[in-house]
Amino acid sequence: MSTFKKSPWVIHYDASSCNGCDIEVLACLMPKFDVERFGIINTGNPKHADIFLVTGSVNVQNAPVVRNIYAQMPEPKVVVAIGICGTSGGIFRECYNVLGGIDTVIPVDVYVPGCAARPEAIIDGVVRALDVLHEKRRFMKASASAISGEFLINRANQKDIPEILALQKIAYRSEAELYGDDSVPALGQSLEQISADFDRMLFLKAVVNGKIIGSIRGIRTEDTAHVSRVIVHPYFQRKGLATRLIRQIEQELGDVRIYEAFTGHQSLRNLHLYGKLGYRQVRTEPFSPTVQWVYLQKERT
Amino acid sequence: MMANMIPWMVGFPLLAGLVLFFIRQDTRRRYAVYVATAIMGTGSVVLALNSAQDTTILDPSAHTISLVMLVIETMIAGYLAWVTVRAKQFLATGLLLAQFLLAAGFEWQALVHPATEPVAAVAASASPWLLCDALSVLMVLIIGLIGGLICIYAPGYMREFHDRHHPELRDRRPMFFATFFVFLGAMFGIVLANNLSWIYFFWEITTLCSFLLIGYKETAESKTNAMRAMTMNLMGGLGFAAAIVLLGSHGIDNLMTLRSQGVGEQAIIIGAGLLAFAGITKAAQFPFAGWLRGAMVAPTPVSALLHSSTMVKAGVYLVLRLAPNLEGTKVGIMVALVGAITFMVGSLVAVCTSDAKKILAYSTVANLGLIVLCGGLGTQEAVWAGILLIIFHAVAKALLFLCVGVVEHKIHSRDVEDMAGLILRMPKLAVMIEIGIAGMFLAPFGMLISKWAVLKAIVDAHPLLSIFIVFGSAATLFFWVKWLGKLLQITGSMEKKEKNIAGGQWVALTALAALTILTCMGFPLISTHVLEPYIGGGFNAVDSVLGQGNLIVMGLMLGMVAMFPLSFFNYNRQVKVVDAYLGGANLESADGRARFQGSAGTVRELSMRNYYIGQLLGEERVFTAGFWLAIATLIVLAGIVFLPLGLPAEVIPTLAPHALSLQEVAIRLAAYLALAPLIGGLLAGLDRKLTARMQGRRGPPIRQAFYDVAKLWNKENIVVRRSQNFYILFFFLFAVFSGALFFCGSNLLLVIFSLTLAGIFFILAAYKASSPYSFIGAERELLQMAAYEPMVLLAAIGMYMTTGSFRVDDIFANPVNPLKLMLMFVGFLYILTIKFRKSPFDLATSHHAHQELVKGITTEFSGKMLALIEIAHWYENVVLFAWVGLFFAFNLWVGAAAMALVFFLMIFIDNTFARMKWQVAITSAWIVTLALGVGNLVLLAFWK
Repeated sequence: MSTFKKSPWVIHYDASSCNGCDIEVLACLMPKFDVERFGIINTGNPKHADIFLVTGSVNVQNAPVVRNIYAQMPEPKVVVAIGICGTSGGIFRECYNVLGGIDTVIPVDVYVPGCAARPEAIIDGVVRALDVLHEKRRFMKASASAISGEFLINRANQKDIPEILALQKIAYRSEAELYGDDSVPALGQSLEQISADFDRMLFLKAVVNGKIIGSIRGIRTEDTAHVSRVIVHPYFQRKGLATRLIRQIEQELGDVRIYEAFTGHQSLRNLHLYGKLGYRQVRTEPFSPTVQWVYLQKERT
Repeated sequence: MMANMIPWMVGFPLLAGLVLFFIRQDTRRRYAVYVATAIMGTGSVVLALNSAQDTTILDPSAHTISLVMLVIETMIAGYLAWVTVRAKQFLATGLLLAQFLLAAGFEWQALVHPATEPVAAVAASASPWLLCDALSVLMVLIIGLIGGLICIYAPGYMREFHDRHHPELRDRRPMFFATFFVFLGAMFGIVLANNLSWIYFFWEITTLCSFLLIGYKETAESKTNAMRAMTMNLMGGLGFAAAIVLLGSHGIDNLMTLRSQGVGEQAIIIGAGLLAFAGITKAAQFPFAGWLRGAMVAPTPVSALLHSSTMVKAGVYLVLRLAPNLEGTKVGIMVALVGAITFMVGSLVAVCTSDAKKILAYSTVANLGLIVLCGGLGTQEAVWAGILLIIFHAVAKALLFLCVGVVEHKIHSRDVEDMAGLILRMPKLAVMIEIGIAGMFLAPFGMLISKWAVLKAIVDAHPLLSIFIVFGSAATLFFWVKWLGKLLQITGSMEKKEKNIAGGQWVALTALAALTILTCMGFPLISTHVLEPYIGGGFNAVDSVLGQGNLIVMGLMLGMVAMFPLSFFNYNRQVKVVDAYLGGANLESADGRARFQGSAGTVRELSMRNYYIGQLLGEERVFTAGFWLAIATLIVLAGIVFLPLGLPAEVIPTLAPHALSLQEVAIRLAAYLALAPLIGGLLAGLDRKLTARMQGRRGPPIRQAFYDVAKLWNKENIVVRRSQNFYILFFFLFAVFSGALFFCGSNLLLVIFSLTLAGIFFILAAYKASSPYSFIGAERELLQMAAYEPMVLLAAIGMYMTTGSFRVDDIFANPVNPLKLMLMFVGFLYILTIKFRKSPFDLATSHHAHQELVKGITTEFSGKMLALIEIAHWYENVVLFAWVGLFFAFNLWVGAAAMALVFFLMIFIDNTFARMKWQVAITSAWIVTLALGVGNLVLLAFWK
């Protein structure tokens, strides 16, 4: 559908910027640049918006706000970081309270450099964002039409690892929101760490249209199979994909006595899913002030 | 059988009361109450079933009874005199003595010198002493069944009242229940007696019971209020006594004889007027409304039984009985005006308070006003509407009172604000309250049908009185919807409190809820079997008030609304639940309550409060204004009554409705459904294009509105509360439906009701979403509805007065001379800016980014639902423009030009004016309505 390209509604948030870029964004809406030509409206409301324009770097104070607004936008959505502070933290980068560019908090799709970014550049950035939006919409549609039988689940290769990591960060965002805690380990994992994981563990991937939309990993120690990191892209959740991933890895890990998995104590959907698959809670361990790990086990039948 | 039934109906509750006085043990008393209630209820049903077969009534040994009554009356007067003197309320004592001397003297006279033959023959269903016709039977059923249910409710309530909530009060339950039943007996007496002295006797007993029960708590406040209630009722009693003497001197000693006199001699009219005056005080009309408000200190069953369902109904019952004597007389107009003022003022006051019981009390006063108005008009359709109102009001209001009683005990407050989220905390009760409220005002349920009939009756008789109705209706809409919304608003997980409610209470509540639904659905049956025979004279409600087609349409609407619960089967549909928008400052909270980061790092809990427009109106101010307005009206009119002024009787020739064939309907529907969104969308695009041009921009393409909707259709659906979307679906459904009604040439009033219903669904959706922005948006939308509703109704009335029909087709076929409605048209334009949510009145939501409410009422809707809202607005706008065209229907080209001009004018105004405060919206809209709408009505009265 090309309608996404014809009706991008934006929400504009000014993080800790000097307001230079902020003013340029507003200038785009004024008669001289008149972005409404492209159907762009400044909605001022995340629930109506498609494009999130953020100016300025992110600091401790406004990081939750940026995250909240992002979480409250309906999919498909794109984020445009505007100005050099938005893209990298700019001259505030070293400041004690500054976390850095927008992408330290939420995934950014388009970076518009400049200090201050010129209106032409901002408009150009939004137009680029339209392509991303279009692409995301196609992806969403694929998910809508994909029925559970058509997922292809394979073992992952070394070259899939960066894509799986990116997916992991998207999928675990909801977990971080659930606990209000960014220290969820899956989010903090680096490429080196996941590569190390890959060397010792078995990775599975689910693929639609050549894109990885889900993954799971597991390892076998003696008679126990440890299952971890069930990842499903948000568009594809609740379609039975996780169930199939878990079943598949149980098979792949072969002949063991006990399967074990763990998840956070507030992740009710995960707990429910494991429960449905025959897992029973065995113990809990505190992980951080906000998160407790719940361990679940199931005996092979 | 009948002959024995009536004394038994009156006597049994009195006896039960006597027995109850001596039962001191709670459980035993409870069962005694149940048994007595069951017998009483069965009795009333048996009476109702037999009344149709057997209408001969024997004279009981009337003189002995009269003598007994006189003795009891003397005792009551003695007791009250002692009470009033002890309380140093000498005004009350004076009133009491005066009426006692008048009435007792007259009765003694009558006993000593038995009356000569009555003036005229009495109806077949009555003797000089007793009376049992359709209206009596209806009242008996209301008293027996609804009163009975309240009796079943009462023991559980009173136990909790004393044990948990008011241990400090003296337990006077034996007296309470005794009085309750004595009162019921007296009520049966009032509605079954024909002899005026007898009615008066029972009338005084209800005054006494009311006095005792209001003062039940024995606090200073309750004592004062009880005394005030009695004083005002004694004024009415004095009027009653005077009427008895006056009419008696003309040989009229019973109701049926009086009715058969019609509009006769001056003395009879004045006598009827005095009786109506008694009725007005009993029904707590302005200027006497104060006593009913004070009566709310009594325990809730008392409020439900005496002060909403039955005793105050005795007042309106009497007024309705007098309809033949009042019709077309100046006294009648006076009574009607009192009722009309009361309806308007009562509704306006109810807007200003958050005390649920007070809201119910004011709304009771207001609705009784409507019934009094019907009685004053006295025409057949008015009486029909009045009796319907009695039924619907008795059922729904009893339900609401009882619900509030339970809620008050469980959440320790009866403040509407504290009822936020009741749908989670006490789901069953909340649904019952919703049923009650829906029954009270929502299209297409009971009360609304009656209100429609009242409106039509008024326009047929005295169009100017409709001013009071249109403003009163707007206020009614306002206070009920905000209560409804409050129940739905949820800002976090809540504790369930629906525990330990006595079985008797559940029985009463469930039965009343069921009765509310049944009466709403079964009203055509009630109408044909009860009301039409009573009104007689070949009156047929369907033909003369409703119209077959409208009945079908209302059935359709009822069916649609009834489908609403079905949407909950869709509850777990794939929607993503996210937090409400709080400017991004949401905080996580362990207990599920919504909190946000305030300034300087403070943590604030989310709280939202309804509008009570205190500065604008103010409870006390409006109440006092109503009081003086009523007094002034009474004085002025009392002067006029004695002047020999003729009344301009104006009869609007009613048009025979033009029937559409099914095929025609199908074609129109198809055209409307397909074209309206197309036109609406293009207009929206054109609007944006023109706006851009006015600002020196190029602007979006004209098809932009379609792109937007197509995009929204493909977005994810995120919600704060899963059920919020259900309301949007019904908003869409009814918005489209009202347009369909319009273009199929249906009744304009129905179109308005349907549009209003759509708006209410929209508002409830935003309440349900429970975000501060959507909440304020909803409140403002509601205010805007209250602001434009009077003018919209008046515009419909104006069209009726000029063409003789409310039907769009007929108006189109018999075009109005636009000059006749010019003032109204200008007023209509004014409220159109509000209805279109255009600057300066884009208060609830706006297309522009400069909205201080974020997106107001639409804030929490996304994806398909937002798209539906857009499309619904397109449909709505097309209807509104078509209505503009209807003003100029005499020539299609002129009509089209007018529509185009209005469209450009709206855009011009939108871009030229700054947004104004909501206060300005509502006051200016009402002033414009008053000046232009009413001005036009006056003009129409002279311009034939």
